[in-house]
Amino acid sequence: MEFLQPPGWREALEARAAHPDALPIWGGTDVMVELNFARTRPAALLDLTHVPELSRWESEDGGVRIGAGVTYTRLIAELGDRLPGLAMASRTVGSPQIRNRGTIGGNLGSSSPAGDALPPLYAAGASVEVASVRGARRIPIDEFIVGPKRNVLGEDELIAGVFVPVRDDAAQQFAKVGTRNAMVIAVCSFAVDVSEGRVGTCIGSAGPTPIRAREAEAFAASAAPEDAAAREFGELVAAAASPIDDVRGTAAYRRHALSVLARRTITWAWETRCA
Amino acid sequence: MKVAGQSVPRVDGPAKVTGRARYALDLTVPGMTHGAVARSDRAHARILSVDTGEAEAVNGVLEVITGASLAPLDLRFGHVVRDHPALAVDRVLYHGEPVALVVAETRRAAERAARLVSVDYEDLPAVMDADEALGEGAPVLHPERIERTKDEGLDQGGEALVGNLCAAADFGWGDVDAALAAADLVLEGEYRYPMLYGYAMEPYNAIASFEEGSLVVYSTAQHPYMVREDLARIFALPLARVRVVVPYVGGGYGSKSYTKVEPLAALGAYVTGRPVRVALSVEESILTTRSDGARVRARSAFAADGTLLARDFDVVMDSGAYTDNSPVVCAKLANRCFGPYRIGAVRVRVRSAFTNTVPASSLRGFGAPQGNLAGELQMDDAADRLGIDALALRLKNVVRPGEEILPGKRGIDADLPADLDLLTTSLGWPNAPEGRGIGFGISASDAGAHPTSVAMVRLHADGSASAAVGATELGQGSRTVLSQILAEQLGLPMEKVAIVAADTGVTPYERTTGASRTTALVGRSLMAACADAKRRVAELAGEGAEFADAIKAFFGAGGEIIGVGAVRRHGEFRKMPPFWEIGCSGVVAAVDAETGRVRVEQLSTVGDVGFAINPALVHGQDLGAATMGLGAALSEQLVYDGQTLANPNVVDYRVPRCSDIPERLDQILAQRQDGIGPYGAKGAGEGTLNPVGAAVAAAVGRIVGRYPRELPLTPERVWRLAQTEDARV
Repeated sequence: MEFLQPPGWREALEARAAHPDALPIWGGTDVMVELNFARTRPAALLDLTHVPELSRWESEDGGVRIGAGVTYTRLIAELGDRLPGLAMASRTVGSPQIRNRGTIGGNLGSSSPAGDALPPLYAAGASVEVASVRGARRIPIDEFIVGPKRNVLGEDELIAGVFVPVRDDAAQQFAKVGTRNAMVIAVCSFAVDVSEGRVGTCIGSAGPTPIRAREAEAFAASAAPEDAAAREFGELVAAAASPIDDVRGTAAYRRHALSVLARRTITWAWETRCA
Repeated sequence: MKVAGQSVPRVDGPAKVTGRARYALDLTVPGMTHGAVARSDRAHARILSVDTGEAEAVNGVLEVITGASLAPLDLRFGHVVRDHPALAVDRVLYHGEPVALVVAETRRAAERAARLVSVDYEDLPAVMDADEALGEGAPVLHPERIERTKDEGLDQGGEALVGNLCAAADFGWGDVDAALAAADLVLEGEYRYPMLYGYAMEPYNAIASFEEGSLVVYSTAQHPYMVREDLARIFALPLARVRVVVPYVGGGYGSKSYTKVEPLAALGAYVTGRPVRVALSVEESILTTRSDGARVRARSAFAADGTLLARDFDVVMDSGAYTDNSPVVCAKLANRCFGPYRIGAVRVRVRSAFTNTVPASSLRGFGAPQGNLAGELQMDDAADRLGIDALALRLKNVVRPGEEILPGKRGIDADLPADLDLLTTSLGWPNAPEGRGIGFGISASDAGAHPTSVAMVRLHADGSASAAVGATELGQGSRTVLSQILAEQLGLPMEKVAIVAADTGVTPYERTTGASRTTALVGRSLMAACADAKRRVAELAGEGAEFADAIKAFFGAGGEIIGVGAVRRHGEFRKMPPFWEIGCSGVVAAVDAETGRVRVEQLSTVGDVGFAINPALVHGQDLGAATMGLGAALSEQLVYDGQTLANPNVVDYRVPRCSDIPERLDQILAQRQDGIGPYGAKGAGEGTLNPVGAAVAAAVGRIVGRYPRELPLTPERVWRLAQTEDARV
């Protein structure tokens, strides 16, 4: 297996263009598991940890652009005030070691429906910035991920970062049941992002991709913040999920758990906005 | 006492925390080669042929060894029944079974070649469920049954072993049916305890070589003397020419009891003439040994005043593809399931079934947690139904010090009512905090195993002393505790004593390092050896002489005095078990009833150890064991999806993490010096685990209004329990 370690962004894009079969790696918290379990045998690894550009984030008009190499630990410490939902999701990631190594770009690249950082990004309406030697483009996140562990990244492209809109009055929440990667425990997660006239949602781990509950969003955007509305919202979220029965748990439980998470998180978000 | 009873620092602590301690995996032997295992991808199949050509062609490969290629060697091992081939010969009995061993110059070449071994199979019907395996028409895994080894130290079964019956235990007393008919309350239920993997940081590994006519093996074995017997038989060598050396072991918990990869490494060395290392990954270790899952049908009969009149247990264990240690687990489960209570009538029937799954063997607790779940939950349920406090109900029925719970066996060497009092005081029973539930329970395990232990003490000319013992250091602290006993007996400071351990070529015989026996039994053989050495000193130089002076007077220059001691099933060790290991644990838990998530907020344990020679080590054992119990209670379970394991790795099989440890830990020691070990000590290391499953289930049951009957308590199971209308689930 070839090991490529470009010193900068330009070189990384060139390496990617020259080695379309190279697997990009940053913290390795997903990639190394795949390699250790022999689920994947890439011809080359493209190590991006020496690319300084990827480890930066900066404010942009209307939001924050976060480099693909920003770790969960830094999301919590440096962006917790601006993006509380993303910080909450980052806190639920495994262990301090994983939070120190795992990156937002890795979560996007793996495109797992169980990726912890993904639901808050969907709920906020984030865009994924991808780049190649040909240039850069931004893709809405729900168009970027197209199936379980599948995305539209071109074979010469790398994930540069993600743009996350920041709305001044937004209240964000994230909750999950079970533990990621614990086979026998049914897992699902939910993120909500509430601002004036807008409600964004996303369901994690309950379908082939993270899912936005559009009907629930439309309902909540105009609903009065009351218990009955929160309950209705929960039901609409559960209806939007497409979980399956497997050895980890039943679809019925996952839908139920989602309705609970959705009801609780919208209630907390409404409370935050009223306070 | 000066040293015994003190939490002296671990003798291996500095080496371990600085990474200098050597484990089998750290060793290399000159000329060492590497073995990798090709495994079956079928649950039950006949091997038609094995194509090793492609594997042999890989650069660096020395040999590709199959079961058939080794005839006429008999590859089977097993301390109870020799039915477990190191490599499958004509059939595979489970997905993951070793079918070939590749030996190569590098591990990488060996692993690559192992993937290229191609086996032509004819599939056979498989049976994945233990009850089905014992039913009519199930495919039989072992049509030719092999006689048991004649070892009086291993509990033998009752029924004739036919079909897929691997082992059975069947006994009782009193008229159970009459008691059930006359009782005011009869509880009946079916309970399930999961099959588990005893996760240890160091996976199974061994290095083997043949040197000057002897087989030398470095390994992770907990019981090197048992492994020595298997190897001696396979290679037709005398015990004197098999040397099994066990350096530090990175966790055992019973999962490293008995023979694992040692025959594979030895076969590699036998065929190639080179030293061979076989080092499994964690994933392969999961495919090597697991614990017995159990389905427990239990009935308990009570009088209106709470008197426990009768218990009736019918248990089926899922024991996997080979016998291994399941017959002993079966016997122990039977002895431990009904609890340390006075019961007029008892009927126990435990059957261990072969299935086409990973073979089951020992794991911490050893049959106790499986049965305890049913037994203790029925105590809680009965208390509710009779309107009696659950503590009062237990106190009414629990045996008093010295009373027998198994006819003819040693009486209980513990004060259980006092232990329950300490435990429930810590838990605040019966007043649970708002929205919380308290659960607790008790257990008694016939521990110590067959009491055979030999120790040797050497008094040196400079006034220092060392001891040679066969016990392994698994992280439990055996070398520290044995050092303390040696220092105490000889009146030496810790700096002047040392332990040499677990090398069958050098150290005296030790039957096992299991059944929580080392402190009590090795401790006593070591004390006997010290007494013997002191007697020799007195003979040479008179009573009260310093041993350094005695050595000098006798030898003039250099020299040493050796004392030997032994414990055997004789005298005060005649009655079995050598001691009872008590479990007395409880929790305070919270439940999110809507999602089913359980959070254990407090864990309390009572370590009824007689005397804590090193209290800090006992605390470590008590907390570690109880935490393993929490794993089984909340998240650990090996799950079969069809004929393969769905979670054969520690990413998907979830052992507890630091964040799962309860915020409040109360670890209580009960020291009444009522044990057979040194200074009145008894064993520790398993007891606190045994009641934890039932305790967590009881706490959850008290919150949601009905008691669970299946572990682990995943959020979905708890949610379903809370949804169930039928209060008698």
